[in-house]
Amino acid sequence: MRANRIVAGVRIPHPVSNPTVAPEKELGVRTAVARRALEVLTLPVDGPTVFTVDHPGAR
Amino acid sequence: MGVRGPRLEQRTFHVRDVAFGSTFGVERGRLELDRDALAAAVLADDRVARCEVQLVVPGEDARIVHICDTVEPRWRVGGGTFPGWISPIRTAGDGVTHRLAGVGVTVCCELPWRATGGIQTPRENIAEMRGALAQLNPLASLQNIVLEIALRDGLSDEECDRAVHVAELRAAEHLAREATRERAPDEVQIFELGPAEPSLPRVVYVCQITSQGPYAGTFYYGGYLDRLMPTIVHPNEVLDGALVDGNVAGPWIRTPTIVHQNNPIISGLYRDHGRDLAFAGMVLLRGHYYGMDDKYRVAQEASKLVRWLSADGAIFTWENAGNGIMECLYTLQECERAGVRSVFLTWEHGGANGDDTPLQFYVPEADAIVSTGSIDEPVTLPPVARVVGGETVRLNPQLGGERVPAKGPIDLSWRLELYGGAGHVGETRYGRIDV
Repeated sequence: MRANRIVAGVRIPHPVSNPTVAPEKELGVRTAVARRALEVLTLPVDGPTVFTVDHPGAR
Repeated sequence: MGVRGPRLEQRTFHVRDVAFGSTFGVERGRLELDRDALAAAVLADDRVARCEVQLVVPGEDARIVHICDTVEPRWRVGGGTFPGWISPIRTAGDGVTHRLAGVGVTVCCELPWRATGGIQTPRENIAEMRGALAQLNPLASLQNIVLEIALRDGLSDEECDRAVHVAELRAAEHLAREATRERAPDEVQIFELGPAEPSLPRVVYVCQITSQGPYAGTFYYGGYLDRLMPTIVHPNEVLDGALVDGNVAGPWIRTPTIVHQNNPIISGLYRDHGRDLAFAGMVLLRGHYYGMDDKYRVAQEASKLVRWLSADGAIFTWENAGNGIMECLYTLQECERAGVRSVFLTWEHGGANGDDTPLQFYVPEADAIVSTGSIDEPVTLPPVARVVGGETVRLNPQLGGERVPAKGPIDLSWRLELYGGAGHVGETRYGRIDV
């Protein structure tokens, strides 16, 4: 099995969330990471590729 | 006129036999120790509720469990032993230190499992004293003075973590001081980085440790190194007790304190200094940060320090597991790009059959790798006649934990519980032993 599309999450202990931001903003972080993951599924890749998330607090 | 660098005079007393007696002393390789006086030194810390002193010798049909750490007995003449713990904080590595070679003081304690969880859960640290697996731990070749201790109830995780190390360090200092104070050593070794021919290649030792809070920490002069920015240390500091290992959460993948005190990379570079190379210094960094930004940051910083030491070559060792390999290899990558030829020491995965991926991460610049062995092959620890440290062992904390008799047999699906086995700095015979 190959993981061709990799979305860089927040940090290793909490890849799709960020406990250091306020709870109401934290939902936005999670949404941004999830949306980016869905988006890159539609993008062509030649091999394993890392995608970043363009959202404050997501990284 | 340059400033004189550190000069460490190590006075070695070789020990080949150890026995309880009415006093302390070392005579022709025989160490005598007063069991009650040693326990009393440990019990002077009111966090320690119980302390029993046991002896375990090489080849004995025995197993040591609940190990928290092992230290070589040392005493600095004039005071200052184990700074930051039992002496004021002052840079180690300059002066005169007595050591009892061939002896390890090991502290054993069943640390509490609390809510900390995850990578900070104390795991079972087991040392085999006979059989093939004995070659993988630092104790099987030593005369072992084992402190079986219990801590008072109600201590925080950090207090528990500190108390076990204070216990071993107090005992180690007491033993070395009382046994050797008025005696002449068998051997004297000077550790001083004198001038070397400018034509010799300059080699830096890049030593990566891990430190992630109680039960998963490394201490530098008594303090956790969790937020360490990469720094230059003198190798004498490490030889003289500046680093204390507290990584009970990673038995296989830790560097016990006695290994830091006798780091073979440091002694090897000293041996070759002025002959084949110039030992240009040592860079200490922490790995296993939680985000990519921190990994890149420490790699930039550490590689910058290597270049400032005017290195032609570098030797890299790392500690712990998982993504901790990344800081070390990113640093190596930056060094290679700057023209510093680099060698990497590491243990491997490889799966139970040795045919799976060996490393979790890799950079193409790492083209000179020394393997210290694999962790993944399952092993069964055989029944033994005697266990020291506890009657049961606790396995699989991630699954809620299960207790099995320490006398064995004990099935380990992989080798994580085997104390000090991965041999990150090449101190054990091999990481991989067929049994």
